[in-house]
Amino acid sequence: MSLLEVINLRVYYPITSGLLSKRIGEVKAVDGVCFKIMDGESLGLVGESGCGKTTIAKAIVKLEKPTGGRVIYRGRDINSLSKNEEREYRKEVQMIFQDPHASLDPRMTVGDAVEEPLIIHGVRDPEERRRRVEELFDAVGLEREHMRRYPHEFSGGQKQRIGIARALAVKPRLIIADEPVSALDISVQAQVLNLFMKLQKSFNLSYLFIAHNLSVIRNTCDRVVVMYLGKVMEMTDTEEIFRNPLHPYTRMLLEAIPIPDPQRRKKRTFPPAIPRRVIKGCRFWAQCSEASDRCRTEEPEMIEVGAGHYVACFKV
Amino acid sequence: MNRLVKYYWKRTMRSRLAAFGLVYIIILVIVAIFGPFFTGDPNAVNFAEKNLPPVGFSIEHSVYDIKSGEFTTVVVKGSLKHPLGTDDKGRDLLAMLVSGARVSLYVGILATGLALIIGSVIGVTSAYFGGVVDNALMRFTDIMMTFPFFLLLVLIVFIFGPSLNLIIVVIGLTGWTGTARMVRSEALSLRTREFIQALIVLGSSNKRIIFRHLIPNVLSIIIVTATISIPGVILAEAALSFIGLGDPSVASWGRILNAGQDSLDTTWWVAVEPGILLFLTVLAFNFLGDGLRDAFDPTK
Repeated sequence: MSLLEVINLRVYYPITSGLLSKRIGEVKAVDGVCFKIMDGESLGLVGESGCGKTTIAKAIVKLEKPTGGRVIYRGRDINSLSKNEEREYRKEVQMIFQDPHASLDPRMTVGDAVEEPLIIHGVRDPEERRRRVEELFDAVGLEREHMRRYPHEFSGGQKQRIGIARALAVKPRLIIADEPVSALDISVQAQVLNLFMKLQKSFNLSYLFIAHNLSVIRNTCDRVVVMYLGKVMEMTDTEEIFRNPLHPYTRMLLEAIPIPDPQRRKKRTFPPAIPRRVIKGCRFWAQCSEASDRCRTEEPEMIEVGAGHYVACFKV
Repeated sequence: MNRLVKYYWKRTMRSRLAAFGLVYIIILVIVAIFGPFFTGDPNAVNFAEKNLPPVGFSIEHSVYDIKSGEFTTVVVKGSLKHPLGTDDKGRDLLAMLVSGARVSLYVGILATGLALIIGSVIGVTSAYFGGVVDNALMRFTDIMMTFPFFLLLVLIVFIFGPSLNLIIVVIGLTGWTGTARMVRSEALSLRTREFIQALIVLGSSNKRIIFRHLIPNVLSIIIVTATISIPGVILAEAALSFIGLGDPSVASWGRILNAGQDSLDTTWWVAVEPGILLFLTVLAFNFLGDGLRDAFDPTK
């Protein structure tokens, strides 16, 4: 059963100008995106900066209102929930942010920060709250003694663990992780990723795991969605994407993964992207080595090329 | 004590001027609260001891002698009985200044407090809700800002008669605009921070976000604004009293200053003493404000 379904999601930002904020155009941050997250699955969402990944995350947690399309959570459209259903939704879907430092209130001890969701969701007994906070600190690998410290006394990795503990406090089923490790040191990244995987088992979680780097996705996700400028380019199993990448953009992303070997230097120069408003047809053609005349005039539809392997490209 | 408070305390005390300001203000507050119990009645008139100079000073008076019909010069010395001298009605200046400190601090703190509460609530609300709410509140602030507040004060005092509490309310109700602006700009940048978004995702109420997270985070600005606006208010009250629109039933520093200005060439101390006190008080609050601002600024 699918836990969350995103159907033809569109989020446009108006471009305004002048004194009266006249609308002179719009940025199509997310332009018709569809995907599903199954119960217990972790889905990776990859693409370069500005391709709309974070906007999708924000639309799912209702920080951003979609221009069109729907987000369905367990059969209900999240933008037409009753007050009680909304409360329930706020408990079941949580977000972990990119910048661990900015995601904690600098004037609140981390123990209080993790306790706060419990207060918001009506756990009245202070003893029980305390016990739950201690359990959460254990679960994310933090020392209980650190509960009374302030965020600035922690490292980036520790702060991200605190953010994770806070998200877990409400016992969510789905966690939207918006580039949770990209602000961390490489050595810490692996630890935090391992924590994510450990928690998925023990808390029975589903993930939407956003990254701009396919190597982060490789060990954590079951399936991958590759996005480019607001649209899905390719969607398939993680294994399949590394073994048989079909879209030229996916191949480009794979080539961009650094290889820790100074002898093996690759040619990694790509032509610059052209602003999307200028482009007709496939949004990738200007950077694509295989673009034909058809790509310049017509936008490719998403087609299923194998079992669960979808690609939007004329070349496959 | 809260560890954050301790940290900022240490940073503030790094500045000697701020430490001086704080010590001065603490002494002033103690004097204002307990002083009047030890000094005499500030309103006790005694013409036999009028125009006495402060201790250590002397002044020459021309006295008309009725018997000889001539003017003779008498040297009057200040005495310890009235260490700061007396005014033209023989009232003890020390007693007047001490009770004046009470008035000045009362006005300064209450009016500033009122202005800060209004200003921060309007500023934070405006920033947090944005859009129409923001526009409406900020245009209202603009209108309030263009109001010539001193003129309004003069007008109201003229209509309703001078009363200290009325002056406080008027200053409070008109003086919040700067705070609202500053708090709003800070809260605007806070609102986009991820911890506020995390709270929304957690389903927190707006009330909780505003009072538990936004206000504590703009508190540094509020405190700094308070220390900087208190002297402004004290000066406003003094100015009002100076031009004769103060509350006549209380001996504020401004009123003493006003009374002394006519005889600056002879009984200079009546005007100079409250003037020095006003000057030092304003300076002390400003030093403390500067120190606090630097302490709250992580880049310093």
